[in-house]
Amino acid sequence: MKIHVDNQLCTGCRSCQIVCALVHFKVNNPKKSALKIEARFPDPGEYRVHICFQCGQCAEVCPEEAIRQDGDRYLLNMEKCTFCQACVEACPRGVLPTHQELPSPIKCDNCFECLEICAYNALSLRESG
Amino acid sequence: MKGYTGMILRVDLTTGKINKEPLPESLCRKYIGGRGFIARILFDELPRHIEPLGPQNKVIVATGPLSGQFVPSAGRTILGTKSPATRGYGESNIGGHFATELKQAGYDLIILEGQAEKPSILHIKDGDVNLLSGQRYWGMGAIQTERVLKDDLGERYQCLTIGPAGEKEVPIACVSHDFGRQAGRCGIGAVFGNKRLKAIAVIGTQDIPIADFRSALEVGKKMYQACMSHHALELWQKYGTSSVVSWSNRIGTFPTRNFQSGHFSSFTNISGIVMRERIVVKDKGCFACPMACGKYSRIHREDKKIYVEGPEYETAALLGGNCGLSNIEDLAYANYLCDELGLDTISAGSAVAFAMECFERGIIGVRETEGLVLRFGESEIVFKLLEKMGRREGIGDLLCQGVKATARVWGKGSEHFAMEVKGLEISGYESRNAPAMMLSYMTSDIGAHHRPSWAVTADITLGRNSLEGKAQRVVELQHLRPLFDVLGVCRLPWIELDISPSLYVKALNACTGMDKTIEELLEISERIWNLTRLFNIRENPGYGRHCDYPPGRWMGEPVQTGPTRGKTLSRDQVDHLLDEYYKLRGWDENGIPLPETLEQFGLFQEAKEIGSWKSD
Amino acid sequence: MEIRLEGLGPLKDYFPPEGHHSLFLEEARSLRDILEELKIPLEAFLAATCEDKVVELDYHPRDGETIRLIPLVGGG
Repeated sequence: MKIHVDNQLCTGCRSCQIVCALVHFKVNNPKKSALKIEARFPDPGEYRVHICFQCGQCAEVCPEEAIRQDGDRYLLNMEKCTFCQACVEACPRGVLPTHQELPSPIKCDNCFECLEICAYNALSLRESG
Repeated sequence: MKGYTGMILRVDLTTGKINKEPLPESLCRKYIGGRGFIARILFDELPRHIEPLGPQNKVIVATGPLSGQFVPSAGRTILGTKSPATRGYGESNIGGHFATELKQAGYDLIILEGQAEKPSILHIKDGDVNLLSGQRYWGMGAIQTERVLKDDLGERYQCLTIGPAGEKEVPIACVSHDFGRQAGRCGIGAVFGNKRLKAIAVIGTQDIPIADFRSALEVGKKMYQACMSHHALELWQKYGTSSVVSWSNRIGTFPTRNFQSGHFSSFTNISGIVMRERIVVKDKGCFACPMACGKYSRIHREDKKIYVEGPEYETAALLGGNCGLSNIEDLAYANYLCDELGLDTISAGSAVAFAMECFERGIIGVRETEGLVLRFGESEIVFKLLEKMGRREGIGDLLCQGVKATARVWGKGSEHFAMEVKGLEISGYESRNAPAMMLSYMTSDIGAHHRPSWAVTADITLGRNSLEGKAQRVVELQHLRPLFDVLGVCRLPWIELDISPSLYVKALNACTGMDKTIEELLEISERIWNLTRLFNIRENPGYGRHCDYPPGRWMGEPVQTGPTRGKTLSRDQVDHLLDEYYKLRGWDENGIPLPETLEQFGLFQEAKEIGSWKSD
Repeated sequence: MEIRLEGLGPLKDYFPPEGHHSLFLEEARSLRDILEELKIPLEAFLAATCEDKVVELDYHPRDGETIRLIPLVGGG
């Protein structure tokens, strides 16, 4: 399963970011989330959600093998990560956000909390492959 | 204490000095945040009788302990100042994402003091705070400024901006944010302009502190789930406040032709249904909001694409029905003009409608209007008047000061239908057959506005023609509704999706570690209510009962058309409502808080001093 | 034609115990007429929806449609 985004439905509320950071880092900090919300105003008046679709390219380039496949998803082991950011550069969608207080990029682990909190169904599940 | 950042940012625009001060815990416990901070600080720090448009006035930009937290619609910033419109307590709140960003930068509130010599931008980047030159942006529209600032500084910055109206210190100028949200009332934009502060731009990366993370997560999820399973959610997501347009006409409370009527015969052309069909392109939400009431729209004018968030209900009321505009694209364009100029759509719509009625009655003529023929429903006239008001040109220079000031100059009985209380224009509910709503407008602390008490439902459930229980309901609402401005969150999930206030209390305690009850919070709210009343009494010599009356039109003149045709309230009935209200509040017959009432709320010093202010 | 009318939240007071009215109409009638005959005050609800779209009182419901009345709230 992977997360599918319908940008038309996104309202820019960022509830997904809040819950992602709360669940993974136990802090209230939307900037410590695995999602990026891009706002395009005033013209055309759109939001674009950028989130990992578990392609595995980060795992391929990681020199420390800190990112491994686990079923449908790829998980980052923070203890092995040296913060070289090879994965950040390799990511085709630019969805490995970093934060100056965190020792590694933020890797989406398909917990699907963001889907549950989205009141607009902008985030849904699709079959992988 | 967690929940707060614990830091006040104090900016002296005269000297350029920027100070960071600790937020006193006692202030948090006694006043909680947002509106509570504003009322206390303005009262304590503003010298008596200072000029609102002068260097001694201050603007407070405040968040609350729940701002930026995992609570539905936790994205409110509250602004306060001594209002240039009323010369009294001024407060307005704004959605979007500014509050969260400010807290992530590490500040609970900003106190703006003094007056810059040249146009300035307050720039906040976590711990780095400085004043930048605002010259480049001076003259730009409020929305345009935000766009250019984001281009210059970074897309992630959240900005508060003013437009040309604020720069020209128009007393009905607003503060703008997030491409279409405004802190509309009380002319706070004018005070920004007087301080030559064009914008505040903030970016923050820090954690927002939570005391009990587990409880906060649990309560937050509960509140979100309650929102998402509510039967009215879809209505609000789709139509936002525009869903109220049809209902308001149905019950005869829709301002029409300068409040001559409560029903606009063309309302279906400016309703939520038509809006969604013809112009809405995006449902746009504030921080953490499951309701996304923002309706972002696009119209075409002279081959250009024009974007505007809205029209909201209030704009459809005061610029729509009130001015007779019966075309949704025209209404959206008028909204856009106000947004770029930085004008409050409520006050601007009321002023335009007032001018139209004066022209129709022959109180003013083409000499005053420089040849313009003012008639209800003439959209090009509305557009021209808004431009003139925003830039203080021609007739706009007087009209932009609001209907009270304009009626004083034009005279000839026009005061009778200058639809204001205390110098603030009445918002979107024609209330001659809604006594609780009328009382709400009469007694709102900032002047006529529905934010502190929206009581139309009470009028329906208790009886439109009855005065029974109305004052009681207004008092209750004036404590409960402003609590949201204290906590720093939007009140719509509570109002529209029945989210229980007890959940907000749980969230407050979880985020801060405090142990408040709803009763304690309501008591704090009542303390604040008395404090803002005192501020008005102190600042306006002779303030009292006479300031709490509605305009002449609402006492004796019958509604012209619609479901409430023929209805009115008499002076006796208005007096009855006021008497009952003062009694419930523990104020004397002149509307002055009794010393024992103030003591009940711990306002001992103020109780001692009140005697000296009254006799000035 | 058969039409179903539902009232949500506090509007249940205007409805029978099963929570909705099933109406059998010989000819198309406006929502306003239907509500007035059922003695449901026009003030008492914020909006009427038909298949998730808001409709005005002059709407004539069609066979098989469900009209939902959304209760009053606080305004804004």
